[in-house]
Amino acid sequence: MKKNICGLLLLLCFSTVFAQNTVTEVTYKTVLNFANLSEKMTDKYSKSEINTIVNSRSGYDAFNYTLLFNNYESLFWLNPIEVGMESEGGNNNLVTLYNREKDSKFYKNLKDKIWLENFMSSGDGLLLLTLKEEKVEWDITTETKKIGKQTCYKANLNTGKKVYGYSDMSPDISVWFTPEIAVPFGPKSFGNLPGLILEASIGPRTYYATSIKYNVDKTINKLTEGKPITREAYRASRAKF
Amino acid sequence: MATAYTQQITLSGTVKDSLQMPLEYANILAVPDSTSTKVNFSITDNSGFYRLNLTPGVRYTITVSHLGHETQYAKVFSITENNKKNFIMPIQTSQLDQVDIAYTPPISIKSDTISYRTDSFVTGEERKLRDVLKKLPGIEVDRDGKVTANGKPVSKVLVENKTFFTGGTKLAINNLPADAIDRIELLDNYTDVAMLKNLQNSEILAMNIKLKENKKQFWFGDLEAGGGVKDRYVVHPTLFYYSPESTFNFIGDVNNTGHKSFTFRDYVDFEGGYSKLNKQSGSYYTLSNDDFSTYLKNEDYKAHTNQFGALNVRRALTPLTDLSAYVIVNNATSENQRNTTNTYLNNDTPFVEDRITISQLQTFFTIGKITLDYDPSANEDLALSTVFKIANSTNTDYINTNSTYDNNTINTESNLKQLFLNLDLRYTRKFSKNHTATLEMDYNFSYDKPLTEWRTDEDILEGLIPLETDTVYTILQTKKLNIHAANAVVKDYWVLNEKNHVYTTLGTQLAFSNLYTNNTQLLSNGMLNNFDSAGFGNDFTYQFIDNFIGMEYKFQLGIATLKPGIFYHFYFWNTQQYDLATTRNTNLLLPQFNAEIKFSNGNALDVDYNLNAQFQTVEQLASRYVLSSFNSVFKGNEQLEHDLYHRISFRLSKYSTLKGLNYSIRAAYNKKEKQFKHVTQLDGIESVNTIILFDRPEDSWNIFGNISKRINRLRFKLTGYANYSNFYQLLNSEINKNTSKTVMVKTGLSTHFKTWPNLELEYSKNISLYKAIGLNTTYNTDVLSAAVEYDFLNAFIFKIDYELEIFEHKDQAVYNTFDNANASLFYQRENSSWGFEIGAHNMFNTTFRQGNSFSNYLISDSKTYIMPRMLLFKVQYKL
Repeated sequence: MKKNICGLLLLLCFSTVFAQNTVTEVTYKTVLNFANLSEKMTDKYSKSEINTIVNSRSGYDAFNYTLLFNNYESLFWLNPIEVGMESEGGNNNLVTLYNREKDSKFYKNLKDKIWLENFMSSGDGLLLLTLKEEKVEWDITTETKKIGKQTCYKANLNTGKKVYGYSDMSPDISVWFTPEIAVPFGPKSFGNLPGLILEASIGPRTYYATSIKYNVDKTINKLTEGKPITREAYRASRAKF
Repeated sequence: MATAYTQQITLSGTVKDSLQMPLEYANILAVPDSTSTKVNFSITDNSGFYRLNLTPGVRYTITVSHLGHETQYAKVFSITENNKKNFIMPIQTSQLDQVDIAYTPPISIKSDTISYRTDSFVTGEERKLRDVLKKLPGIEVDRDGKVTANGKPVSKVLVENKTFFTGGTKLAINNLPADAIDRIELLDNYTDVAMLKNLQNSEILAMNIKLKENKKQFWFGDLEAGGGVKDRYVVHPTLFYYSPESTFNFIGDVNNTGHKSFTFRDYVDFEGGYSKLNKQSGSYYTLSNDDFSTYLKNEDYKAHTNQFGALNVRRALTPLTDLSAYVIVNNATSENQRNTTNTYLNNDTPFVEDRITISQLQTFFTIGKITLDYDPSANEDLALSTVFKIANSTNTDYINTNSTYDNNTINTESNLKQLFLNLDLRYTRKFSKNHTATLEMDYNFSYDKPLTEWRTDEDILEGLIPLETDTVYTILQTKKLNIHAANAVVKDYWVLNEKNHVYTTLGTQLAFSNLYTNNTQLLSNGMLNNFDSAGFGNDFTYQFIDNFIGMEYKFQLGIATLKPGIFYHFYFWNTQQYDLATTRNTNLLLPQFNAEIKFSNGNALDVDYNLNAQFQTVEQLASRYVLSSFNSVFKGNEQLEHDLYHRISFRLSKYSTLKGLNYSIRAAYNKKEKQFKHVTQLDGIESVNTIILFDRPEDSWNIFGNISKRINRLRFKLTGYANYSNFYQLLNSEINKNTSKTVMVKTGLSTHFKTWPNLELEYSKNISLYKAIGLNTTYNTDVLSAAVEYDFLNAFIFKIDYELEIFEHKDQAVYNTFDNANASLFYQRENSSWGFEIGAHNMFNTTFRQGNSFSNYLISDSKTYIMPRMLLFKVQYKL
C-alpha cells in the first residue's frame, strides 16, 4: 500500500511537471532550392538574377533560426550574427540578406488568440504588426515521409495565404508537419496544423529543422517593441502611396 | 479534385490523461486510407473535447498526440453514423533527449509560381496586354498603364524572364500584342523567387509574360502626324521590335513646332537608365550638363525646325555577353531673339546698354554609343563602351547695341566643327570573400574647330585690335582645339573584418592639349591684316599629368558608418607657347570625410566633406589674346596652378509610408581658399579680360528643403531654398566684394481622383538680392501655375495648363508679367488604334519671357522671344 502511495505521489509529481508548460527549442536553417541551377540558365533567369541567387545561397548558409514553444505560445526569430557594414566593392550578400531579416520576429499566443510580428519597414522604423488569430485552409495530404525519426505529413496552402502575409499570387506554401510533436507551430508564422512543422517551402525558399531540444530553461517573451499597427492598416497605407 | 458533396458524419469524444484530467490542446488527426478523401483534424478544448467530420464508408487511421504524453493510435472502419470515442493518454516516461536532425530538403522540381493561362480568359478581341489583363480576376489596369493585382501594385514587367526595355509597366502594358501572350505569371515577394540586389524588406509584385512559341518576335509602336496653323507640321514615329535575343527602339521626329518628343528622360534611358548611371557616380551630372542635354532642355525659340532620329539596340550576343548601342542624329534650324538691358557696374557711374541679338542657328550632330557587357562568372564583370560625337553647326547673329558709349550693328557668322571620341573599360574582379578590385580606364579625344567672322561698319575694340581703316570691317578668327585625355584608376576594396574596411586607390590622369588661334582683318581689297603683332595668335601646348594615391578607411560606430580618406596628388605640367616652354610641378594632400547615420525611426543623415583642387583647361592658359565676342578680348595665363576649396554638405531625409509623408533637407557650405578670377578692364561696353589665381577667401552656403504629405486623394508639397554667396570682383584695378542672396519658397497641391478631374496648383516666390560696389539690386519673381486634366466618357482626355509670372526689378521700376496657356483635347476609344488630338499652344500669343542674371560686372535683364501661338491637329495610329 505504501509502495502504491509512493508510486502514485511520484506519478503526481511527474504529471505536474509535465502538465506544466515546458519549453522546447527547435533550430531551423534555410536554403534556396532551385532545380539544377547552373550559372548559365539564361533562358529562365537573367544573368544578374542568377548571380544574385548563386551569391545568396552562400549567404543563407550562415543563418540559424530559433523557435521556442510551449503548449500555447511560440516565438520565432533569426539568430543574431555579426555582419558589419556593406563593402563598396560588392560581395555583400550576407550583409544584405541578414539586414533584411534580422528584425523579423513572430509571436503567437493561442490562449489570447493573438499573433504579433516585428518587422523593420523602410522609412517607418520597427513595426509591431498585430493580427487576430485566423482560420487557415490547409489541404492536408496523405503523403508522408520521415524527417529524422519523425513521421511527417504533407500539407499545402493554395488559398488564403494572406493570413501568413503572402498574397494569393505568391507560390504555393507546402509544409511537412509531424503529429508526434503536438503543437500547431512552425517556422515564421506558419502553423495551425495538428503537429510541429519541420519543413516549410514557399517556392524555392525552404526552412527546415536541424535540432530539437526539450525542456530548455528559457522563457518565451511576448513582442513589445516597435510601433503597433494592424496588418490591414499597414497594407492599406502601402496601397495608397 | 472535385468530389460530390457527401453527408459527413461526426466522430467525437474526450481526451484525458491517466488521472482522468481533461487534456487541452491535444491533436487528433484522421488520415483516410483513400487519397480522394480529405485528411481531417481537431484540437481539444479546455474540457478535452474534440469533434472530427468524417466521410462515411472510408477507413481512417486516427492519431492522438499531446506534448508530454504518449501518442495514441486507433483505426476507424467505415462508420456510417455519428460515433463517440474517448482516449486516455499516459505520460511520456521515456527521457526526451536533444534530437539532432541530419536532413537536407530535396530540390523542388517545378518553379512554383501562379500562372494564368490567358486562353481561358480571353475572347479574341483583345489587342494589347492591357486588354488581356482586364479580363483576369483580381487585376485592375488604369488609364496610365498602372496595374494592381488584388490591390497590390505591379512594379516590374518581365517578358520571358527578362526585363522588358526599361522594366516600367506602361510600355509593356500598352504595347505587348495580346495574341503573342501564352501565360501570365505573377511573382509576389519577388525577393523570395529571384532576388534583386539592394532591396530592403519590400513587397514587390512582378509580372512575367510568357509568349507563345511561334510569336516570340513582334513589332509595335505608334505613328503620330499632324498639321496646324500656320504652316505647322509634325511627324513622330516610335517603333519597337522585340525578340528574346534582341530589342530595337526607334524614335523619329520631324517638326517645326519647337516641341521635342525625344526628352531628356529618353536620353537617360538610351544611356542605360538611371540604375546604370548610379554605378558610375558623377556621370548623371555629366549627362545632364553636356551640350546635347542643354539642347534638349531648351524650349525658347522664335522658330524651330528639326529632323531627328534615334535608334537604340540591345542584343544578347552570347549567354554571357550583352551588346547595347544607340545613335542619335539631329538636324535643326532655329531662330532666336533676345533683347537685353545690361547695367554695367562701373566704378564711376553705372550705365545701361540696350542690346538686341537675333540669331539663326543651323546645327547638325550625331551621337552614338556602343557598350559591351561581359559577365563570365559571378566573380568577374567587364564592360567596354565607346562614345562618339560629330557635330557641325553654323550660327548667324545680328547684334545691335545702343548705349551712351556706342551705337553699332555687328553681324557674326560662326561655324563650329566638332569631333569627340571616348573609349571606356571597366573591370571588376572578386578575388576572395575579403578582396574585390576594380580597374577603370578611359581615353578621350576631342577636336573642336570654331571659325568666326565679325562684320561691322564701325571701328570696334579700339586700341585692343590693330584695325586698319576700311569702309566695312571684317574680322576673322580661327581656332583649333585638340585634346587627348586618358585616365586609369585601380581601386582595391579590402574587408578587414565586419566593422573595418580599407579602400586603396591608385590612379593617373593625363591630358595633352593643343590650342591654335589666329586673328586677322580681311580688308576690302582682299589683303589680310594679321593681329599677331598686337599680342594675338596662339600655338599653345599644355600637357598635364596627375598621379595620385589614396586611402579610405570605413568603419562602423554604433548607428553611424564613417569613412575618412586622404588622397595625395603629384602634379606635373608643361606649357609651351611657340618656342617658350616651362615645366612645373606641385604636390597636394586632399582629405575627405563621409558619414552615414541611419536612425531607428527611418531618418537617414549623410555628411560629406572634401577639400578640392582643380586645374584649368588649355583655353584659360593660352597666353596670347583671342576675341571672345564683338566687345571683349581675352588672354589666358600660363602660370595658373590649381584652385582650392572646402566643401561640406549635409542631407537628412525621411520617407514614411504610414504617414504618407516624406521630407528631405540638404545644406552645403563652400569655402574657397584660392579661386580663379577674371580680371577685367572695362571701357564703355568693351572689356579686356584675363584670369588669375586669387587668394582672398570667399564663401557660400545653400540650403534646400522639401516636404510632401499625402492626405487621401490630395498631396501637398512645400519647397524652400536659400542661398548666400560672396565673391570678389576685380574690375578696372579695383577689388570689390559683392554678395548675392536668394530665397525661394514654393507650395503646391495636387489631386489624385479616379473619376473626377485632377488639378495641380503651384505658387512660388523668388527674391534675389545682389549687392555690388554699393549698388543694391532686388529682383522679385512670383510664379503661379495651374494644370487640370479631365478624363471623361472613357475616351476623352482634356488638358489645360496656365502659367503666370510676375517679374519685378525694384530699383529700375521694371514690372513685367508673362503668362502662357496651353490646352489640348485627345480622343481615343478604348481598344481602338486611332487617336485624335487638337491642341493650342501659347493661347495668349505671348511674345517673350523675362529673365535676369548677374555676372562679374554686369546685371542683365533679358526678354527671350518664344514660339507664337499654334493650333495643331494630330492623328495617332497604334501598330
